[in-house]
Amino acid sequence: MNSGERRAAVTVTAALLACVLWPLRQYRRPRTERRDGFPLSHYPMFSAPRPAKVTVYYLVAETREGDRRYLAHRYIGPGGLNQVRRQVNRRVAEGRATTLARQVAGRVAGHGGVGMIAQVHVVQGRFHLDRCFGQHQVVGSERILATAEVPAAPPMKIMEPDRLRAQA
Amino acid sequence: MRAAGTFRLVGWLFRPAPATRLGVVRLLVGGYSLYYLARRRRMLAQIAETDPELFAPVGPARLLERPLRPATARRCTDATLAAGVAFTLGAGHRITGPLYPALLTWTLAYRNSWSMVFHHDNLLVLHAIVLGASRGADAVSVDALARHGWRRAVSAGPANGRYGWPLQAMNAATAATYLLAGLAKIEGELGWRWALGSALRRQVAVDGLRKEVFGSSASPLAYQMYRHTGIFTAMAVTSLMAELAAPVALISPRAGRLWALAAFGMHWGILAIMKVKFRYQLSGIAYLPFFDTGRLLKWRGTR
Repeated sequence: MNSGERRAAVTVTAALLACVLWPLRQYRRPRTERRDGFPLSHYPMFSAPRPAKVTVYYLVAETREGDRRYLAHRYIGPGGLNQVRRQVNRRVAEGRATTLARQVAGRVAGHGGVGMIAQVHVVQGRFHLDRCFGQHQVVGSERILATAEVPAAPPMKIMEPDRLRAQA
Repeated sequence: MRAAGTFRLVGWLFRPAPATRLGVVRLLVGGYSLYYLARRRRMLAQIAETDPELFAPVGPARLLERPLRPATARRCTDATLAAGVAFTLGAGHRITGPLYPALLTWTLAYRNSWSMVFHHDNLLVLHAIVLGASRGADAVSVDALARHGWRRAVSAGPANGRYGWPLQAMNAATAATYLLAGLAKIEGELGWRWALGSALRRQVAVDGLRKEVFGSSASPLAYQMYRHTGIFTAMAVTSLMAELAAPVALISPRAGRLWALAAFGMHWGILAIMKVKFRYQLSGIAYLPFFDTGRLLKWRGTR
């Protein structure tokens, strides 16, 4: 192994470690202003304290008979549970719960297996963790933020504006 | 004194290893990442069609002002997969070595740019970058096969620092990420009180609750353990120790192996209690550089 090769190896390793540790500078910022990144992160998962009572935004499906059930994340959007959950939070925070309900109702209509669903609600749920996990029952108080009727027939595919332009 | 320290550091970095050991690590890290991406090809295409207003770019994707056209995003994924095949097989490593980690970083950063950063991808990308910058295809590769024939391509050959440093750099990156995760906990609102376990207990409950209301289910263990606060204190102390003590893994190969087993066990514990999958870590491949993977080939040879 020649000295040039050694120098390159030391440089790569030092640069890699400097980059990995770079997010430490986040701790100079106030907690509310810390930003996560990829692939360089300060790994904030599991570090935030959680209150005994939590608020969760989610979607509920209601059948024509009035039965209600939690709507699974795959009917809301792609990317898995956590990504969908974050996107729901973001839309609610931006005041777009009605748009979300409408979009999800459209998606539900496109799924043959959930044809019994008549309405989709965007819900704010308040849960007491000790009660839920102590009694093995997920029960909380709910507030409906938005509702959309599921179209009877599969809706037309919603196109994004830039794709419409491209087709024109 | 300072010179002795530098000498020791250089000695640590260039701990000799045979080319096959690094080659096996490249093969397995590449193979894992390829499998991981290929299984998500359809999902990645669907994500690219998500509402553009939800686009929150992270990492290199911050270069974009708006999302890519879905067709372009699909092509990027396919190019990453193609480069991944060459990287894994060790074909044209001088080009595919740096190319694949670059494309992998881009593809995963783009995937993480829709409101959620998946932290289990970070270490995979860091490991791929080191492998791409090294002579990771001098053995157990198409390149070696073409140059030296089958026998030499899989024979260990003499140990050399040029094959040892990438393994040490990968281990250092692994240890650094765990150290950061530990620091995040004590730099958080609770400080060292995080070790009492109440934050972890509630985190487990919140995570389970979210799963329930999004059509999945919390782990049965989460319900069973919730009443026992002492268990959460023990878990919090253990995980904090594993994270903050991660640099100890770099002291000696034996310490590295012991720490890797502890970290590996921690992730399986997280899966059992929270159903949270740190996939790369759960596969065990993230910790392979701590082990003499070249033995896999010796074992094969004795059959």
